[in-house]
This record gives sequence, structure tokens and C-alpha cells, in this order.
Amino acid sequence: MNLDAITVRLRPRTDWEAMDLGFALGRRYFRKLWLLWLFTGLPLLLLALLLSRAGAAWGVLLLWWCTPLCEPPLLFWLSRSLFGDQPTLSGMLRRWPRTVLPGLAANLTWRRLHPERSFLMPILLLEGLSGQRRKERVRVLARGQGGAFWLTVLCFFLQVILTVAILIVASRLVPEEFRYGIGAESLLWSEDTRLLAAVFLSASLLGPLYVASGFMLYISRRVELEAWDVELGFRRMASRLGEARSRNVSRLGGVVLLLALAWPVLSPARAAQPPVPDPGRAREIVAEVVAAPEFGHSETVYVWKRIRQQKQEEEIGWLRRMLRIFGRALGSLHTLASDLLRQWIRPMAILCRVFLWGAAGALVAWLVYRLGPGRGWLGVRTGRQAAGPERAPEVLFGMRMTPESLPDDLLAACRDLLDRGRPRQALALLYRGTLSRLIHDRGLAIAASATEVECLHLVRQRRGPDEAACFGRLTSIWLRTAYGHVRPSRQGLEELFTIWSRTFSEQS
Amino acid sequence: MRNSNQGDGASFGRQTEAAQRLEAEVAKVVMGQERVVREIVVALVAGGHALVEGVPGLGKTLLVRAMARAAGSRFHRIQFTPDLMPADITGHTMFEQENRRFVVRRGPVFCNFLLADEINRAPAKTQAALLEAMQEQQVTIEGKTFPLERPFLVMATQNPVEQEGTYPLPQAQTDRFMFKIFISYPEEEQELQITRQVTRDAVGDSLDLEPVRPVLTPPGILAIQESAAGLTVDEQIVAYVVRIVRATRDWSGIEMGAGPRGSINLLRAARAMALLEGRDYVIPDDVKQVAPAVLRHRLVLSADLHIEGFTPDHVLAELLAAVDAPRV
Repeated sequence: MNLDAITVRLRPRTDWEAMDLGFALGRRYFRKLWLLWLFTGLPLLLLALLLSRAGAAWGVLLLWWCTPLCEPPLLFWLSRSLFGDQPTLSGMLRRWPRTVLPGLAANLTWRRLHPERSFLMPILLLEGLSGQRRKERVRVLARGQGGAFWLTVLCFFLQVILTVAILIVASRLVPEEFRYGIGAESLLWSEDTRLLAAVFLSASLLGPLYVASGFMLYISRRVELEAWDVELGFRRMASRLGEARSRNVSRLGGVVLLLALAWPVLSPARAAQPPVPDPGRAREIVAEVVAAPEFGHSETVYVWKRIRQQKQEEEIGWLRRMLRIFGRALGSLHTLASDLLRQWIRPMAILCRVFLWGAAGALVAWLVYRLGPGRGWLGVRTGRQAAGPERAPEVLFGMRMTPESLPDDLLAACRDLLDRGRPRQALALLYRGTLSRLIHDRGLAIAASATEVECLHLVRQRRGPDEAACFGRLTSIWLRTAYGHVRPSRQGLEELFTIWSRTFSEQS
Repeated sequence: MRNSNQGDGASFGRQTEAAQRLEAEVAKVVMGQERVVREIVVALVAGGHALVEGVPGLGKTLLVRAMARAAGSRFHRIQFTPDLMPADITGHTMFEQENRRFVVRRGPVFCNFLLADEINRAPAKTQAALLEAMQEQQVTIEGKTFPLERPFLVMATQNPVEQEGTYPLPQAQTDRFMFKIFISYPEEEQELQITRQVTRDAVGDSLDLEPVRPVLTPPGILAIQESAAGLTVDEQIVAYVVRIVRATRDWSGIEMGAGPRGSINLLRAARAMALLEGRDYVIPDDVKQVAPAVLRHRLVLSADLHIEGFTPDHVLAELLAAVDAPRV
């Protein structure tokens, strides 16, 4: 790290100033940062598109959750660029595994939801510490630093707003005909695709800014702790005075010596420094420097002073004393509360940790459970699913179609209804049961807009002649009963039950 | 809904058979246009008017003439031109010198089948003269109202090309047509057959209507219409019809959807379709089959879709695939 080559002006900054500087940095190098982001982001988008076939929410969740995958290369590139060494894109792509893979599991699990992720990432990625040393380092750097939390909150809301804005603009600007296009056009502009594209675009636009801001918060904190600005100031001063050495050797020597004195204090980590002079000589030099006109200058200043100030101070003395007592009481109370909390917080923290791990495990198990039966989108299709719809509807035409909603013995239930003088209900139940079997057992994809005759055409196209004939007869009787309001004859229904039993019961 | 046909199956069967015979007769000369013939017969059975659109030379006039002949009804034709006056359609009064009184000379609208050829070539005032006739089945001449002979069916034709100097029909008038029927080019096989038939032992190029036999009479048509009106219509079918029509009002890409007249005509047409299918009750497929012809001229598409060449049929196909079908 060469401080002299740093491309930003170092000075102590507030968190907000640091974030602002980070945004400026992100804007300056946006094109390269964006390309780096896309390198990881585009495969993620493809994966999300595949996953969105099981529901758009899954795709969005994947994109959002895996955002930390895209960020380490950006951070690495920024860390080099800040000190004047801009790696090439090809070089970055080559070192992608070394940048992204370390700590990947942690980045995608417990660190994913850390509100100060942007600030911690530089410590974890750039300093290369591990174990207790890393913990200690994180503790030191993160102390008194709250900007990263607000940066995460800010960027989260910015992303939501940007996503909604992109969706609105797309819905306004996308030509109507795309909705009625055939093939690729309609696929490209389906609602799920648009949602994913909007989330992806907003994440890619904000990602570089988020990483750059987090990085600048980190730099700002190091500037504050390690006095980089002072160090750099002295270096510049030394450089300037070096030019004037011929004119004033003793003064330069003084400055150099002063630097030498100040160096170990300001930057204890530095090893290769000028030799330290003996304390007696150093004191003399310091006294000489302090006595110089630049430091030894005195000036008399006249100011107005209230003559009753002393008295006022005495009058409010009692108030100060009261406040001091009150403060001490508060302090004692705080100590007491801290002790109590310390006793309780540790067990509570353990409990919370157990709970969080349990919740994470449950979430993973649920995901596996949900995606397990629907592996069709991965191209893994087996048995009945191969010919059938991706997801059998539970409700169709306003009727429950799940096998669970039907009696175990459908024909017995139909016959029972027929015996009780309710032939229409018997027929309706049989029709519903047949549709359910066609959908769930035979894997027939029936749209909610399909009429009875269209269902029959579908069965004729996809199923064997026996099933088609049976379903045709059932449809015919059903249409006459349902829409013609003609009561079906008992004999006709009995015959239908027999054929149905032969066709559907035996084959199922 | 009521069912006057129940218990009178034989009569209903006769009406169905008569309507099917009529369709078969028309199909003898209008070859390769089964869908068009079916739709025009449905319009007649439902008692609605039809607007037929197609490029020149596809047999629009032939279709109407064949229909009138097969129906054994009086047929008139008006060629709409820019200088056609309303009185040329409805009729006018004239002074009779011999009897020294005004007499009413009835216009060509007084018939059973009126062919309004190239209706969009006449100005709006003349087109509007048909409005009262179509909607009220009556004509007012010099303040006196004359009922039209029933059945009365207006079949207007228009040409989708050569739009210069035409007067597009206002929405209020197109809404009064039950059907808008598109005639497209026939298949190669059918075109061969038409060409052979027209040129066989013939000097001119007009299609011979001789094969078409009159199989109906005006009272017979009225009986069929009454029979269709009495079909059983379940409430779910009515709800389905309304659902489709209401969907046209909220559908993306449709600037203006169909009104309640659209629902009414859709149900009437579905009943006629059921009768032609030999059923005395209406099923959802009847509604779906006639929906494009009934609704396509009642929709106003957005400018985007117009520019890109999309037609109401594209949108209707999508809409019908999205509206839930009924299950009783």
C-alpha cells in the first residue's frame, strides 16, 4: 500500500462524508465496476430465471440473496485503484475464484443479513486475517462506527424504489403488441421476467455504489485510527523541506527528526523507519523547533469579559453539584444494570443463536422440500411428471381438483348419491373426479378457460381411445344434465359407472 | 331460463333440420367458406344483422344472394355510393297527378334480405338511414311509420382495402350489427373447384345460383328464430357471456370494450349456434364459437396495437383463453 499514490484527499471525515465520497468513487469508476458486477450477476440471473418457473418470488429471492457473490471483485478492484494501481478486467476475471470463494459460505449465510456487511467486507477480504485476530480487528474498527448500518438501510430502500420505478417505466414504455407477441417476445416480456430484470438491473446499478461507500467508510475509519492524513502531511512536508535542505540544514534535520519521533507513535505498524535519536538530543531539537519563530510567536489579545461572571459561576455552583450527584447515581445505576444484563445477556445470546441456527436449518429444509417435487425446471423429470403439467392446479373451474378433496371410493360415493335420488350430484361428482384423475394421474394440462368440449378434445388427443370414449360419454351426459337441465336416467348412469369403472379405476 | 322446446322435441328437430338444410344449400355455391356460411346462418337464426368484410372477388354478394334464395325470401340490393341519399334507401312520397294526392313509394329497404353493398362508400347521413330500420324493424317516411316485413336481415359488405373516399361506419352503427364476418381467401382445393364450376359451359364469370333450392319461407324462418329464442340457457351461461364482455372493458390493449348490447347479441348468437348444432340447450362452446364474430367490431384497440397490425381477433383469442369457463 503506497499512501503517496492514493487518489482521494485524506482527512478525517464523518460517516456521511465518507459515504458521499464512496458514491463519488462509485460514479467515477462505474463502468468498470458495473462490468465486474455483471460478470457474476449474469449467470445468477439465468439461474434466477430458471428458478422463477417455480414462482417469480424464488427467482427474486435468489438474486437478492446471492448479491454478495458479485461484490468481492468490485471491492478488490477499488482497493487497488484507490492507490493508483488499476487492475485490468481480464486480470480481475482470472483472480475471480481467489476473490470470491474465500468466505463464500459465510457471506451467503450468517453474514448475508449483517447490516454492516459493506464495512466488514474490506476487513475480511483485504486484511486477510483469521480467527481471533480478525475478531479483534473487526471489534476495533467497528467501534463507534454506525454509518454502514445506515448505508445498508439506505441502499435497500433505494433498490426497492429503483425496482418499482423500472417496472413502472417498463409497463409504460413496452409496446402493447409485446403482450400479444408470439414466442420469444411474449416470453421475454412476461411479468416474471420483467420483475426479475428490474430487480437485477437495480441491484447491478446500486451494487458498485454500495461497495464503494462501504469501502470508503472502512478507509475513513482507518484514517481516523491510524492517522494516515497526518502521516501523509508529514511526508509532504518532508518532501518540501528536502528541497530546501541546502538553505537550512538544521531546520530540515529538525523536521526529519520530528518525523522520526512522531512516526512510531502515529504508525506503530511501520518497521522501516529512520533511527530514533537519543532522548536528550531529541529534547534539544524539539526545544529548538518550538523556539523557532513559527512556533514561538506570542501575541497579546484583548477581549471583553463580564465582570459578574465569577459571581454567576458561584451562583450556579450548586446546580453543578446536584448534577454531579445525579450523574454519579446514574452511573451506579448503569453499572448495576450492566451487571444484571451481563448475567442474563449471555444465556439469552446463546438462546438466540440456537434459535437463529434452527430457523436457518428449517428454511433450508423447507426449500429442499419445496423444490424437490418440482425438479422439472432443472430438466429432471420422472414418470408421470414427464408428460404432465408443471404444477397440477388445486382449483379448476371453481371446483377443488385435488385427490384429497374427493372421496376415496369415488364410484361408491356416486352410487350412494344415485341411490339417495340425487343423480345430478352423482354425475357432477363423477365428472369432477374424472377431471381430477386426468389432471393428477394422467398429467393432463387443462386451462381454467377450457370448456367441457375442449377438455374432451384434449383427452381425445392425449389419451387412449378407451378413455376418450368413456370421457366423451360422460361429457355428453354431463352437458345435457348441467346445461340442458335434463335429469339423467338411472340406467344411463349405471351403465356409465360400469364403463368408468372399467376405464379409470383399473388403469389408475 | 324458459324452455319452450321441452316436450316438443319433434318440432325442435324440424327447425334444426330446416336450418341445417338452409346452411347446406348456401354452401353449395359458396365453396370453401364453411365458417362464413355457418356464421351468416347463425345471424339469420338469431335475427341479427351481419356486416361482411373481405377483399373484392370473394363472393360476398353471392353469399347474400344465395342465402336469400335458399330462404325463399325477398331480396334487395343497394349499391352504396357517395351520392346515395337516405330516401334512396327508405323510400319517399311523390305526388300522383292522376289521383291528385301524395303516395308513398317504398324504398329497397322493404324486403326480407337487404344487401347493403360497400356500405362504407355512402356518407354518414345515408348510413344512418339504416339505423332505424335495423334496430326498430320499421321505417319512417314523411312522419309516417311503416313496419318492415319480418324476417328482416341487413347484410352489409365493406372492403378493407381502397379506403380513399370512404366513410368508416361509426361505432354506433357497427354496434347494431350482430356479426362482423370476415371472408378470407379460399383454400387451393376449393378455389380450383370454384374456378371449374364457374367456367364450365359458361360465357360470363358469375356464379350460377341455380343449384340453390328454396328450402324455407319467411314464416319458416320466423319459426326457427322463435325456436332458437326458446332454448334452455343456464344461468352459468349467461354469467359466462357477461364475464367475457366485461373482460373486454378491462383488457390491456383494448381502448373501448363492448357494451351490454354485446352481451345480449352474444347470448342470442350462442342460442342460434346451439340450434344449428341440434341441441336444445346452450353450452359454453356455443358462446366461445360465436364470440369473435359478435365482439370483434365492438372493440376499439389501442393505437399501439393498431400500428403494429394487430386485430381484435388476436386480442379476443387471448381474452377467451383467460376467462374462466363455467362449470355448473
